[in-house]
Amino acid sequence: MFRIFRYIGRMVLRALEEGGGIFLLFFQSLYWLFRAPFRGVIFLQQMEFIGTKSSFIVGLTGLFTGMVFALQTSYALRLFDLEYMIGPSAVLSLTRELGPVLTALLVTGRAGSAMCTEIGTMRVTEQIDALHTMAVSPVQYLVLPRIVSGVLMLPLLAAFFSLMGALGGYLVAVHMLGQSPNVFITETLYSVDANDFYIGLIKASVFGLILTLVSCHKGYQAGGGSAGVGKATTEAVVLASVTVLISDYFLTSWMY
Amino acid sequence: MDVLIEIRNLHKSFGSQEVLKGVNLQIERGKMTVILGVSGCGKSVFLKHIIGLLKPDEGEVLLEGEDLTRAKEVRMNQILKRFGMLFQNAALFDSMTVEENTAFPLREHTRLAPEEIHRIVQEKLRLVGLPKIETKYPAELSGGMRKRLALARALVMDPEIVLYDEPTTGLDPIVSDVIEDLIRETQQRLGHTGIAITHSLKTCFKLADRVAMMEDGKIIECTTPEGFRASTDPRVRQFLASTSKGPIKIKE
Repeated sequence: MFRIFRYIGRMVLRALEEGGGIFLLFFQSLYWLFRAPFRGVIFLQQMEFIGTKSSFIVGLTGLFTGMVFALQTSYALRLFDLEYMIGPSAVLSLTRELGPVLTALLVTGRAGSAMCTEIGTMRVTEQIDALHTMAVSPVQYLVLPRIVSGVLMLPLLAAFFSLMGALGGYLVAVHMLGQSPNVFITETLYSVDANDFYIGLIKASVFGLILTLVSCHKGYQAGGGSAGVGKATTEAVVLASVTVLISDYFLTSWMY
Repeated sequence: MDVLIEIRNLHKSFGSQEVLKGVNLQIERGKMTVILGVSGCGKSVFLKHIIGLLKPDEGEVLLEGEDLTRAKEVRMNQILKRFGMLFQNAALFDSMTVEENTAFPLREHTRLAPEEIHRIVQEKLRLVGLPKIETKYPAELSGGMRKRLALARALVMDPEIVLYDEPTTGLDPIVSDVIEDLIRETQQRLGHTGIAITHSLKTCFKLADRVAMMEDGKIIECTTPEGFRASTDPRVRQFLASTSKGPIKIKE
């Protein structure tokens, strides 16, 4: 009986410790954001890594997501003779929901894991301690550029995802299902307004913050050699993905 | 004695394990102090307290009267510019070349022109006897070369205080001897204050102006190398005799 309480207690303590660590890292990063020196090159390198280098996989996934979405919805909409709604339903879902969420999950897998492994390896080989002894703040040097890049690049990637998705939807609706291009475009433009787009961009930015923060935190706290780094990376990907999905629900209900 | 760093009553525990149990030590300016002790006696933890990598539960680390354990991060970064540290496993940045590794502190903390930085880096690499390998990466170097490179990086800002964490562990006896000579020679030539930790008697006596022995989280002896050899403390005698029989028990 007591064992259950002890187990629950330990879980709660661990969750609090983890959450506290992530918030602490967030505030430390904020603290260093407005302090010299500003390392432009490192920021650009991280933006390239998180943004430019993720664009191919993000675009490809977006294209096929849009295509599959158009196919699936056409199946349901045909039952009600609403096939002209394929465009709006695909594009609305993409900009408001699928774009930001799937982009965040893709970037977590691609860049978040790499980030965690790199920082974790630097931790276990004392490179982070070396930075400290050379009077360079490891948070400012390693964590801050990654978080800023995540916050800035995720909206761009999500927008790209949605754009490629819309293209995929258009291809399927017009070229496979024989819808007139005019119907697809007018109906889409009629139903989707800028607000839908903004909601997606804000969400993507928040997801960018979450996934970089969690990945950096996990790497920063890694210990126990290469096995420890591997474990930290797995935990980072799982925790970041789950946090993105949960926060997505709250963001959606807040901005509904 | 001209004291540069004074450590007073330093305590540190990890969970229920008490590692430092009240360390008191004075580090003399311009001299090499070697802290000797068996593995697990707390010397690495102690060294990390001097440079602020760990915060003590109790006690002070005074650098010219200023307590480093209470310094704020921005102030600590100013103080750290007076330090250099040689890590046990070199801790080189593996994403950077030899030249970039050595130049890193200069690029971060000075506004020197690239040519000037290049000149200083060349000078330091020459000082540690590294041939023309600026464009190689740390992974391509041997253990001895990595140690030399780490030493060049530690010395590149001309620090007043250099910490050496197990400088010869993991090196073969001949390379160890070369690194010991190099550390001694650079320390005497540049005149900085050195603090080294080691479990090797040979390294200790080659480097030390003063020897401090740490055992079970305390400094039990601090004297000159001659005084250390003549010590009557049974724990020092056991260490000098390199035997498992005596008051020092190894926790398995």
